[in-house]
Amino acid sequence: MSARVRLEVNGTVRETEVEPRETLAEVLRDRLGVLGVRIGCAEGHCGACTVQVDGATARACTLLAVQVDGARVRTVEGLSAPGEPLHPLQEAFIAEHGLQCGFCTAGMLLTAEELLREQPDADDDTIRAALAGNLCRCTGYQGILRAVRRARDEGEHA
Amino acid sequence: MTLPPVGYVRPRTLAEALTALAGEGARPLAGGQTLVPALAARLIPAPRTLVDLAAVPGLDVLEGTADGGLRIGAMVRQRAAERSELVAGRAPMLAEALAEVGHPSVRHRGTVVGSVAHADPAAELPAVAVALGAVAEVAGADGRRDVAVSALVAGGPRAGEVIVALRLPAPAPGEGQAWLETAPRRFDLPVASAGARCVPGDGGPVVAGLVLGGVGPTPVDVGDAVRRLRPGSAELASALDAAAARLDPPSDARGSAQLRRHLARTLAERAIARAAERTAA
Repeated sequence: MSARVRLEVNGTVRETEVEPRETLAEVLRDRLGVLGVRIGCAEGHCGACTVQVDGATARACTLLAVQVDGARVRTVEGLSAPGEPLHPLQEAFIAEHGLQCGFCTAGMLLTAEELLREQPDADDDTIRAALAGNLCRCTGYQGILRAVRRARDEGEHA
Repeated sequence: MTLPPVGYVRPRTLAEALTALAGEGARPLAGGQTLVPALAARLIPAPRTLVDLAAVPGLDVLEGTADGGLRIGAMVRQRAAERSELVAGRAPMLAEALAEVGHPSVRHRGTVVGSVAHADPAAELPAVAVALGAVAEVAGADGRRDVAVSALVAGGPRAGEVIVALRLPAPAPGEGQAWLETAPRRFDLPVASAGARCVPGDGGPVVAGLVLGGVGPTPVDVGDAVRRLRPGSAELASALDAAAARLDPPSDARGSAQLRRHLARTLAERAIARAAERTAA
């Protein structure tokens, strides 16, 4: 059984055949070549595959692509275009050593972007709570928290 | 691919959905935030057909009812309910519990009704639905029936049926509600939990209801043991002791029976105290 899905991925409309059992994460990576999406646990625990669907964060491994047919999807590639300046959150992650192996980074960035877009003045506890669903197995959490605080304090992150 | 092969349909009307659900091995799909990970982890057998409810008109409606209660459609996302002023005003326990359900990225997709339908005995929303006296509107090939969630959590909807909406009755005048839970990490599935309701009585609040989660095969309604008792009283303390002693909690890697019984007893007392603080004088 296969189905055709149409997604707007980072501003570009993409169409592909999928099996119903394929997750959005699998379709983005394996069918559409959007490799910034990381698949960690593939069971909704780790948050590495976090993307934004119609503006709201979602775990791409716990969504079937057929469920989001027609949706707007933003991945880390949508934060800043190649050759363009990095997104202020990305700059902050570099400045504060908010990444080590980088596997969790895309999910962290998309989660933090949503938080600061909705709550530009989020306090430190709110930032911690917002990132609680994204695991960093390098355990580099302090750098990540510093980076999000820096982006918040510098403003203009959305 | 992580998931086993499954079929998928996206009906455009409730009638089409019910026809699809009447088929062998069909299962309703709402937000999928329990079902998809469970399939990925091979915790449940693969349904032959997932019947996605997302395109059925009207299921995403969250509305107040004329009697001061709420009606929550099958596709109302947890995040939408969490942010709803109607929910905050008419079912504050639900709003309080929703803030602890999964992470925001999960609540954006997960639905209130789907979580109740899955009826995990430790999960927040089935216990809250029991605590608030929710009624499920269940539709099937043979028509509609109303089922109290307290009865539904014992068996779940039957094959071929789907919960179209939950109805929550209005809180009593002046009622205070509170939800408390203990989880190993914030937003994780609780090990134990308590939902309490208090109402104004002569000379101060009295207990109106108490449901405990994570301490049995379903949420455990211990309201009969504590109703009309006064928060902070010796009578309530001994009634809670007795109720906790009667629990038969599971023991597993997430918590021993002894731990769960202790947590439920402690959370119950604290939830009652908090509900009493929120009860109108």
